[in-house]
Amino acid sequence: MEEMAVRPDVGRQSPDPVDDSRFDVLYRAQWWPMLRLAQGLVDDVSSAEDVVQDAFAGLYRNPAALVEPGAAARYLRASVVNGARSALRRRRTVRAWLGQLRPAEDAPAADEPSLRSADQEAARRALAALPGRQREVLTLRFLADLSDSEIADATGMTAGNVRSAASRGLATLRATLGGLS
Amino acid sequence: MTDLDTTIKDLINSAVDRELADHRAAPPFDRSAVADRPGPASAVRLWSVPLLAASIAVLLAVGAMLAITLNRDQSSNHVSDPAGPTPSLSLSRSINPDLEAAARAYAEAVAGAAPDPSKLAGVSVSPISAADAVRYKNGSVLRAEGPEIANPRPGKTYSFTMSYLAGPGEPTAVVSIELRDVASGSCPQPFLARPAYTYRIRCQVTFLASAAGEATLSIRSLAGVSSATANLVDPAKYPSPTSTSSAAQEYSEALAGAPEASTVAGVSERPATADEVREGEGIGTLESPVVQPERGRSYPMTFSYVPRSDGPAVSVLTFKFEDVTAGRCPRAFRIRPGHAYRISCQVTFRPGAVGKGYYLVRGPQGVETMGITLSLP
Repeated sequence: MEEMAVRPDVGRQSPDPVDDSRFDVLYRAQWWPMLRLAQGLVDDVSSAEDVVQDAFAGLYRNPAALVEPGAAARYLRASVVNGARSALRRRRTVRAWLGQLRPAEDAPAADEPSLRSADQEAARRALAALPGRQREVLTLRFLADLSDSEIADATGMTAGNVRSAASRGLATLRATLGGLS
Repeated sequence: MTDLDTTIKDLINSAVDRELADHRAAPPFDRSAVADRPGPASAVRLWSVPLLAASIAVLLAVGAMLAITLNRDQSSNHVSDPAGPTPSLSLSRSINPDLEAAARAYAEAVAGAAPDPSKLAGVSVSPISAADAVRYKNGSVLRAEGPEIANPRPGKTYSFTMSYLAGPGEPTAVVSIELRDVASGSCPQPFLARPAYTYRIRCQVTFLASAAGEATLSIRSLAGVSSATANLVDPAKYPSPTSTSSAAQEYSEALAGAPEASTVAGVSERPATADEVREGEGIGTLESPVVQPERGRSYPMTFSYVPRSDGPAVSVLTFKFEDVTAGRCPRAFRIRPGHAYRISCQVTFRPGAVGKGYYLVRGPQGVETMGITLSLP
């Protein structure tokens, strides 16, 4: 649990109507960017939705973070990063292998794999293959357009470490994806 | 940023947008998940909601005693090692050879199920992504979610969530959750789950002082029943007098008698691929099921296994058959995370039976059992 830089406050009183109104506005505005960020980090829509839901649940319990929109966004980003770390660490799926016994006609439409271009796939794979902190830093930079200091705020890293991780991660991506058109 | 950096950024953004194409609309915020907290007196309870739910996932991740079993009859023919401890999590599947009986049971379940789970409190439904549709094209995922619990308090109410992702090839099924060994608890009523959707089911439970409690997620279709059972709290909090030491002793004995994979005829070993390592979980696959097996004929079959990346440093893998006329596989051998194994076996099918095989993976804390069906009828 050492990575849990953000934790929900546990003593929040019942939210008043103003809080709920603010919360709803924030939820509508921030849900999509947070879902994109979470998806970039965990690469699984269900997990990403859970991470985002938990982040907003944490925010809902923390009225202090609702007072100032910037603080709320920071809180959400940090929560999403922490939630994604937890999800990746704890991800455990149990699969049923019934599918291997299914005839081919049960397979999904043949055009589904082509929905993602080869280059997009390659870029996602290359990003996902980076070490954890490099992947986090570049995901926050690419998907949320955050500055190094904002990334440091969201990840709990120092700005220097952010720059270092970004530099190393980019170098790896360039080497891996140098052949892209 | 260089031009290449910008290209990479654009590709990643467009890839993520495409993955989320079906999820652009924000779902209603589930205030019920947090509405029962507040009040200073409930501070511990607020923590407990996320903490408890996570215990299940942690058990899965730690994999203390993960057991995946494939049964013909859960009540009478459970294949988990009877000498081992009670599994913390088990996945079982009942393939009923009597299709009429299976259809009857399914019809009864459908009659009592809510047809539209999106209207059920405590159930959220979302279409699976294109990526998951490919990844789980002919499979399903049963998952317990959340962060871990520290110390459950008897008498307090906790929430937990289990989810079912139905791949596009999965049949329409009735989903239900049953709680055991708890003081009280409630889950949504059974409902109809359709292929290509993910269903998240939130339950509430109050624990007994003396038991960890279990939740079983059951998926009933025309083919039979699949179920995942998870202890809701780390069973180490409620140790049985013999389970831990017994498991450790049996592990020690099994390890002493198991050679390295490289020395066992019929077994090959290679480094796991990056994708396999990233996947993290123990994966057993049958390279090619037999279609309509002929009576009396012996078929060569190859099984693969990739140990969980977070599993014990060394485990012992045994492959066994059930419901076949004859089956022969290499002896038990040692396996390690970061490696992948292929096991060459021979099987003679029993008339009218699809045949089943089991990966039994013994670690210091118990046995994981994964079942797999061997043939297409």
